Amino acid sequence: MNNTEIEYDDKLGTKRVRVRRMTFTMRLIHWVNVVAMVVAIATGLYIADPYYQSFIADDAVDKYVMAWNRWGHLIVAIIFDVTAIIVSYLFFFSRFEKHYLKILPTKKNIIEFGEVTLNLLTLNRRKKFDSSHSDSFNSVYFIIFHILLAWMLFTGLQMYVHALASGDSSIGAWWPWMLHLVTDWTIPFSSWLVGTTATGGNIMDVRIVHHMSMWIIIVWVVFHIYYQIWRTIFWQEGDIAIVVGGSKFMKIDKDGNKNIE
Amino acid sequence: MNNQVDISFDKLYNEFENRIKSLEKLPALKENTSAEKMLIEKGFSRRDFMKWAGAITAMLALPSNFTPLMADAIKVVDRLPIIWLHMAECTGCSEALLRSAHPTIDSLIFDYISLEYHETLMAAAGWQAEENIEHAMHKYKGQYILMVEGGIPTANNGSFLTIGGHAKKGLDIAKEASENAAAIFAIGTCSAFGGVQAAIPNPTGAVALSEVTHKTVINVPGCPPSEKNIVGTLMYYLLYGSLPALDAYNRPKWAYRLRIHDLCERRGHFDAGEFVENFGDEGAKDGYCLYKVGCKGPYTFNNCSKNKFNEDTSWPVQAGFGCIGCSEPNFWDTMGTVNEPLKDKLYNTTFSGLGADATADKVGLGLLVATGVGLAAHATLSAIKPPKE
Amino acid sequence: MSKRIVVDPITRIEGHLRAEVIVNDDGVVEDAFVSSTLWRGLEVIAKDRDPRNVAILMQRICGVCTYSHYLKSTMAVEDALGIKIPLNAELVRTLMNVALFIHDHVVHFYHLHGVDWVDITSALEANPAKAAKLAFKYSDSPIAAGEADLIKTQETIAKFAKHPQGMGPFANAYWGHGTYRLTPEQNLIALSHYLKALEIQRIAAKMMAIFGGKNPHPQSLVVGGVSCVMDILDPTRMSEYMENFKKLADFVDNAYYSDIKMAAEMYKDEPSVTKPIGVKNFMGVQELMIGRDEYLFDSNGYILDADISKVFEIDEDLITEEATHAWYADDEAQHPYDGTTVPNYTGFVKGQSVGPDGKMIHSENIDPKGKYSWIKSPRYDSKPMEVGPLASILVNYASGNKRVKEAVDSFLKETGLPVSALFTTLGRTAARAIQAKLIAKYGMEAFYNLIENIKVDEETCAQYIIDKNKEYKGRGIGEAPRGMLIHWIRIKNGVCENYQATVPSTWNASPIDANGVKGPYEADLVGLKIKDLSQPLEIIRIIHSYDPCIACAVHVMDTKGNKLSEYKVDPLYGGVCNV
Repeated sequence: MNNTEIEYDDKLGTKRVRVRRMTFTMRLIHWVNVVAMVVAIATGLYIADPYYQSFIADDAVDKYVMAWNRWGHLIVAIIFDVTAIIVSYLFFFSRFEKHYLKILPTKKNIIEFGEVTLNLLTLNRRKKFDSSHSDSFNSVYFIIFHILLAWMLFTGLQMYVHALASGDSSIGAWWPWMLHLVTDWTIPFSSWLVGTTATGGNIMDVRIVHHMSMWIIIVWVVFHIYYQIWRTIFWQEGDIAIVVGGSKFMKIDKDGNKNIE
Repeated sequence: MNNQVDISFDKLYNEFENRIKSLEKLPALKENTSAEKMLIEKGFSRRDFMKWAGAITAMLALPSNFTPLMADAIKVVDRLPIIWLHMAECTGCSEALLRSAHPTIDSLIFDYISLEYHETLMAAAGWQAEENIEHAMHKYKGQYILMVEGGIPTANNGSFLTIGGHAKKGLDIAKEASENAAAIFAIGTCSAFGGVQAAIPNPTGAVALSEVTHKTVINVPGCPPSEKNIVGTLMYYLLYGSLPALDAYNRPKWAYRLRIHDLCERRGHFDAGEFVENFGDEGAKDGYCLYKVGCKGPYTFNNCSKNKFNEDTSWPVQAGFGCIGCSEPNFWDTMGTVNEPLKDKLYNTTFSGLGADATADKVGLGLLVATGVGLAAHATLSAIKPPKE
Repeated sequence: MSKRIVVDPITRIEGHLRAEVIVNDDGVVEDAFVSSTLWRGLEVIAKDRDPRNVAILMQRICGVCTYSHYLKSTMAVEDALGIKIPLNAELVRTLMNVALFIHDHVVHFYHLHGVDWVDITSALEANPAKAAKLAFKYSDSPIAAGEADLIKTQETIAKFAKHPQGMGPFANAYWGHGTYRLTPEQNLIALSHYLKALEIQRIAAKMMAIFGGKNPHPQSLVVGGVSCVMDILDPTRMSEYMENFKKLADFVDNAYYSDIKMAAEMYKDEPSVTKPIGVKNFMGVQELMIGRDEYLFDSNGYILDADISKVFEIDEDLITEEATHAWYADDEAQHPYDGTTVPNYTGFVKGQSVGPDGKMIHSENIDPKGKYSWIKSPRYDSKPMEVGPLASILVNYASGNKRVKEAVDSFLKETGLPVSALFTTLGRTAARAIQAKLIAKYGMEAFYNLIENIKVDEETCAQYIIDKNKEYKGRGIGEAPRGMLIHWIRIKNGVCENYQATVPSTWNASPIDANGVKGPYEADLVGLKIKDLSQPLEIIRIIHSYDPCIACAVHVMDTKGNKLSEYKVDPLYGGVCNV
């Protein structure tokens, strides 16, 4: 583990140690996702309901307001596709941090998860876990996000492939075939989620679930931002800096305890 | 790549040729007639006839060298006896066929094909009418084409529809007629998907024809479908002697492979973000996109935007109304309000009575507010009671 | 011994209908029953839907009167919401209605009703040259009745006729029946018009499509007006309508109307069509706005017992419906606002009837003591009423509508028939042609008024809001090609709370009511003499003369408060059951 480097010692003999938490790639993905998400929400809402009229005097063929919105939405979808694939690769094969080890329901992980939760609920009065590395609460929370993101991708692709019902596309029949294979399950699942039983599942259910999932993601983001700020303020380990510079601080007292109070 | 295509079409051409030869060997149902002769009698020149054959060829997306073959095929149409059944329906599909575009020619074929049973058009009634269907089903067993208009009521044992002096159930007639048909076409959304009577709460238990027979049913949905799609499907069967390539809902791909949206004349305005906000507004006068007043073209597969209706006179989007999605399964329940965009779809489910997106947005915003309040409380408490140093 | 005759299916109508009569030894009908054999339940389906969806749904009641239900349903919603639609919209709606009326009447007379009057096989014996001359007797400029046209027609039909199996849709009908009265030449003229009418109906449909987007099931009426503003403002579309209208008007005047005169001349002594009709009460309402607040048929009212000296005002509260003999659970007479409907199918009983060869055979028969039809019995102040073109013409005639009076009087003069001849099957068929002729003559007034109005006003659709907290109710009333049509709606919480349609064919085809009184179809059949029991042409001729539209007639009504909520829909069974 070469993630740490000692910064300095204070009077009490506590060492402040810099801990590397995110590589450049991970930070890049994070910020790409942020931008993509903002674009996806703005364009998605327009596609669902064109909430502004184009008052550009140009001919219809020259302004393409809806077309640009749809283009933007699909482009960020592709970006999400790429980042999702990279993230899922790193999840298992990253040489930096093996995230999947943190979500296995081992006794250690469960205890850690409970402790982080308690820390949050007790307003940081109890902190009995090592906050220098990614904890299992963090991992689970991010897994939820990536499941939501994948869900958006599957439902989005389902709606996309719906327009290719004939099974043809300009790049060959394999493309819609593959998308159907991968995303058709979202129809019955969406139907089950919204409870349409009388008509059977259909693309309309997928559409509304896609829309609702957006809200869940927004809520996730709000909590995510809050929690990062809260940690930064109350743990005083510079957590917010991780996503910018890639590292935070860890305090080690003279007994060798890490960040635990 | 081109070679490949040619080879496959050559093969197809030979197949068609053989098929028509074999059909020619079948006994004609009527003597001394041929469609070509009839046409000429009706004042159509051979040139008109070939032109029409060319149009049908193009519609089925075949190369132009198939045109003479198509002409030959039309000449042997009279080898196909047709039984047309009326189930729970409104006769709109029969009416659609009578409107047939490209004057009289389709309707001529309609007169000309051996129409053995059709309740709206046939002269016979009562027992005599029943004799006609029994006779046709017996004489042309395994050869006739069955065309069905209307959903099949199944509730109360199918008693919501009976036909004939023996009060036979529509359900039983449909099953029986399907059993020995050479090909089965479900004409219109009712027989293809259940249609309007099958909309929630479906009081008569109406179902699609395909749900009461184990045989393959080709669906030609639409409310009503364009006559071109009906005739085209028939011509396809005649030529290929097999079922056309079908999509997931058993609709022939040649007619239903593209969305209304894909070839829509107002598509430019959609892409440009120019929308009719209210019927009769300035946008409506300028032919803006109807998406915001409920057009379901983006979700509907059909060729209306290309083929139009009533001798190319118009189609709903041209009339400024927008598509209602009538060739999609369960469109009455899945497509929402006709004059509202899909975002305002009334859900017959968990979200009853409210616009779907509006509901989702309310739920979403509620969730967001709840989260915000929770977080604010957490933050405040954290600040007031700082952890002991 | 009395015998029973069952005619099922009655073909060449819209929908599924059966007629049963009991005849005595002389072949005279002693009792008659008419049953609809299909129920679809569209009003149940309309419940809880957005009011703007309802008209498009109700349109699917019928693909033949495809526009009538759409129009009246839209009007019902507008009435409920208190919307006054722009004049442009009113007039465009009239233009579409004009196309519908002419389309409907022409198709009905030639393709549905025609072969009841015209013997196709007899036309083969005609001398085309003689027929071509004869055509001038009924019209100054006959259509499709030149010698060459007639020879062509004859050849076309000859091929069908030579091979009975090859007659396709013409096979196995009642050809050669003793009550066919036209001469071979007259048959040939009518037959030629039958073929021509196929083309004419296509033109009429096209006219509707110009403003309606398509036909059947046009799609341009919205709550508040019409959506086809681009077509209205486009001179090429307008002239397309005008040119097609001319063709239609020409056909109505010189083919349809002249054939009716021909039929009137030949059939005026045929007892099966000149027998006085059974129900002599008629009801009609105003229709076809051709100018601002000006209607072509401008009279509302009803007449009783064929007495055209007095027209009574309609009180809509006196309209009731009951189900004594209909397959619904509620027997008592109820005003539509209080109506309830629960299907209660009892089926038919085993019995015997005259088979196709004249021998008695087994059949499923109507039990006249029990329930026997999906059609309810609407009554006005406990009286049965006939509605339709005859009723509309009579009510307008009796009220002194100048245009109608002139048209009727001239018809009677040209044919030499007395006014009483109107109260017959022949009169009913003639009244339809008179109505078509009037529309062909005055329909364009709406067109010219529209042009004038567009010059100063381009509004085509009124704006409105539906307040979810308010309760609305309203109805759309008018004449459809088959008679008086009313749609009723109640809106609550922004959705359709209850829906109901009072449809022409329901009045006409209604079964016996609680007082034992028959509806028009049934009453009209009683006393009819049938020549050949295995070929009951007389029965279907009478029934066809009403232009039955059975999909329209059969419906469920329930407009009372929360009544429908008392029904539970079993998702597995799919049926409606009363809880």
